[in-house]
Amino acid sequence: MKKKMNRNKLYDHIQGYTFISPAIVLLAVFVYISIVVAIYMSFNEVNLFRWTFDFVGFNNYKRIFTEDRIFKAFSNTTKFVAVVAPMQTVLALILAAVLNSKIRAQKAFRIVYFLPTLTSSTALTMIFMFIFSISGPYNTIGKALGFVQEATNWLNEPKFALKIIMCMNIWSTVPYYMTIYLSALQDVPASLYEAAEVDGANAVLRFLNITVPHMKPITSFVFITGIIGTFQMFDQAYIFSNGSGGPQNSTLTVALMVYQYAFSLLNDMGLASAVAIVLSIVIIIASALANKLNKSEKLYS
Amino acid sequence: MNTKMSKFGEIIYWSGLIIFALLFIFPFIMMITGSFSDTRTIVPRKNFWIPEYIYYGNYKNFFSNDKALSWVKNSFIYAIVPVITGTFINTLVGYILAKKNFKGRNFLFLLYISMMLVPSQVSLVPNYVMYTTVFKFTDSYLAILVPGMWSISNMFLMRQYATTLPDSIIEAALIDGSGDFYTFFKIIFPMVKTPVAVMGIFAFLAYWNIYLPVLIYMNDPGMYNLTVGVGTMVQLDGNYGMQMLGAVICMVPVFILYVFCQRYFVEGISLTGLKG
Repeated sequence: MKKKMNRNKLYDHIQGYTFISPAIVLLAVFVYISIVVAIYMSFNEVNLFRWTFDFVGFNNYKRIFTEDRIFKAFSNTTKFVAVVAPMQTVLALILAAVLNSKIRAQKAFRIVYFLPTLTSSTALTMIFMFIFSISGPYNTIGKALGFVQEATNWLNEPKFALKIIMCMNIWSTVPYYMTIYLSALQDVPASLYEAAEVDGANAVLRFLNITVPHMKPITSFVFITGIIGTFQMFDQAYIFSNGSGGPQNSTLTVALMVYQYAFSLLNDMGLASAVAIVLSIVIIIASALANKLNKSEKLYS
Repeated sequence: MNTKMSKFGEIIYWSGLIIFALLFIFPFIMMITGSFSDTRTIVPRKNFWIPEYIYYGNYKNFFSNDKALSWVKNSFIYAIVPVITGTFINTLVGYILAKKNFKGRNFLFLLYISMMLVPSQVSLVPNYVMYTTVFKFTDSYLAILVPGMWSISNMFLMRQYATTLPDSIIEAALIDGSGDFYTFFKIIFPMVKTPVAVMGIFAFLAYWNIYLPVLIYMNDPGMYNLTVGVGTMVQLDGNYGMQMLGAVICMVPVFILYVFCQRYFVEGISLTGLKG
């Protein structure tokens, strides 16, 4: 018996070293080399067609802070994050709380509320582009209700284009986060709500004083995931503008710009790497700040 | 919240619930009716949710187009192969990291946790350079299928789940003389069914909707998948019927999967959500 266990232990070691270690080490080597390569490229002017690397020092980083178009991309992305990340978190929490109450036809509502999660970004973008196009429902309904004076192709309006993408992003992500909240809400003891009801607290008070504090860790997770996701938004902007970031750079996000510099005709992988590195630093700082904010709120509640 | 509610409160509550339900369902209705609409004419339609007559032309056009059919085929290849390879490899690695004792295991675990922190944006360009110049993956299925063989976050998920399995069962199996592979397939796999199903479904969703890698590695439109291919249709013409049809085709397999595996969708979202 003892011998057998030892043999098994020996097997464990052999398996550990032969199967897992090479795989993980290899993976790590690739991942870490890619970071080193990215940093190296960000200090070079890279031309992949001619396969030339010219060292340019901090030039690429200087360009990030001086070029208007790059500034525009960062400001678009920041606006996008500032609107979408809080909106999706708050809406998801409210909808989850509403759906969590025992209402008639609750199952049917849950299925309907889950549907947007099933769309791919292509389908999503095409549906929303149709809604806001010249013959789409937004114009028709808007005219009937009076908030649209003249049928317009909203997709070509620089002031509206980014807002349309914000709408579609919120529409498709709220149900996902709502599902996370819904499953977490099952752990909140029902007796708390009952006691509050006996004390005469109405639904809004119960939501603010019981649901919100109990959901704090989940809110923190949802908010940070949202920040990370929205900072990297690419597909929707790409399909919406056919890769150009138009109209007038109004839908140009940082991720889209990285794509343009690295893989499209601009052919400037050095700058693309520099932008990607700056973006990741921004994401890390933003999520650390969000995390801190959430923790500090915890102290006095 | 099920007992007392003022009449006024109830009206607000229900109307809010129904307005949101309409907001969520309306675009889908529009998408489906749009795909059956004849929108070749430039004249704007009076009615955007009910077609004047049911028009099958969009479907006929789509399914008689060789390129579109190859997009469908590619979509299934890109989605199904990583589900099989990835699920198997991630489960195996996660299980071994959780249950096998060998020197350096903790170091390996830390090493791969640290990889989760690397932003995908940073590795995008170097990976592209490596895949295209060293491995020559341009216009090859391998550009999608090779990275699809593993997922660091899924290995993590599996590892976390496998640590909760009782050691005694595994030991008992080994003492009974069952080999390692037999133990893994006959004893371990059935115990981790739920996370495996969740991983498989979410891998399918992720790779069915995969966009950027297809866009950068595939120059030949015949290698596109549906999401990229249909996306190119948006710009080609203003034929909304065709675009709505594209949206429908992208969604149908996901919808079918949802109908049959509804439980795992919800479970999976809460599983990944609670991990953080």
